[in-house]
Amino acid sequence: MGEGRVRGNFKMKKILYGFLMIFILAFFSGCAVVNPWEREHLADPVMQFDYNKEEKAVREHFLGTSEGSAGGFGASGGGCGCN
Amino acid sequence: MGKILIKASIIFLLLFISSPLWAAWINDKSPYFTLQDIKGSAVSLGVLKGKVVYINFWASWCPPCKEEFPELNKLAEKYNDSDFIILAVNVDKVKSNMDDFLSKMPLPSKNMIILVDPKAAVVSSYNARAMPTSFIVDKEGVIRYMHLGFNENDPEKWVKEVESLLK
Repeated sequence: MGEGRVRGNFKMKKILYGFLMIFILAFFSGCAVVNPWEREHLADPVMQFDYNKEEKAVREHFLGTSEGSAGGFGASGGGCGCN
Repeated sequence: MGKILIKASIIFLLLFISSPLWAAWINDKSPYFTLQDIKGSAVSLGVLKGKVVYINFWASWCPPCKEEFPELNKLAEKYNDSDFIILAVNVDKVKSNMDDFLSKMPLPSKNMIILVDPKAAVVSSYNARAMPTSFIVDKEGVIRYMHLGFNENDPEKWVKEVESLLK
């Protein structure tokens, strides 16, 4: 009976240690919340993948001719050749 | 040892979930603030008790704000002679960006006051969840409506909401 209790406590401690480690790792993961009013640079059009349409077209064409693949520059076209 | 762990876990949990609790929310008392307008005069929310106040947080770099601003101005003009005022709080760090934005916009109505919050002291006290974010505050200083972002149906909603609060 007593041994079972000790085992139960040990298991509980393990679970708590696990939770604590998850929270500590979440704090030290390097992720930061960027508030909506701090997104000036993120909102800059230059941060978009297809900011320069002409450059995008040239890069896609180059990739298509040199690598024989397409897509991977945005949401549509995943390289399947069906678009 | 187990008790210490439990306490530590609770503290970490509270730290994680506490930030949304600081935010302004519907039916909360609107946090008071005093900010300067573009001419440098101090404007306080406290002295506007008895008026319906539309508090809008905007920035020059935010594309929906460019669409929203003229619509807000129309709303201000519509209720020019009522107990209605718009406080458009700009959160740009660089003032010239705001000036450039305003130079491309229609001249604000007399009941639409542009305020500046370059240190983000007020916007953070309201914990705006998007850019733009708006709060409609009733005559008693209580937040009654909130709008995140801007879409084309919003002006119709604003009119209904403002009229319900002006009654």
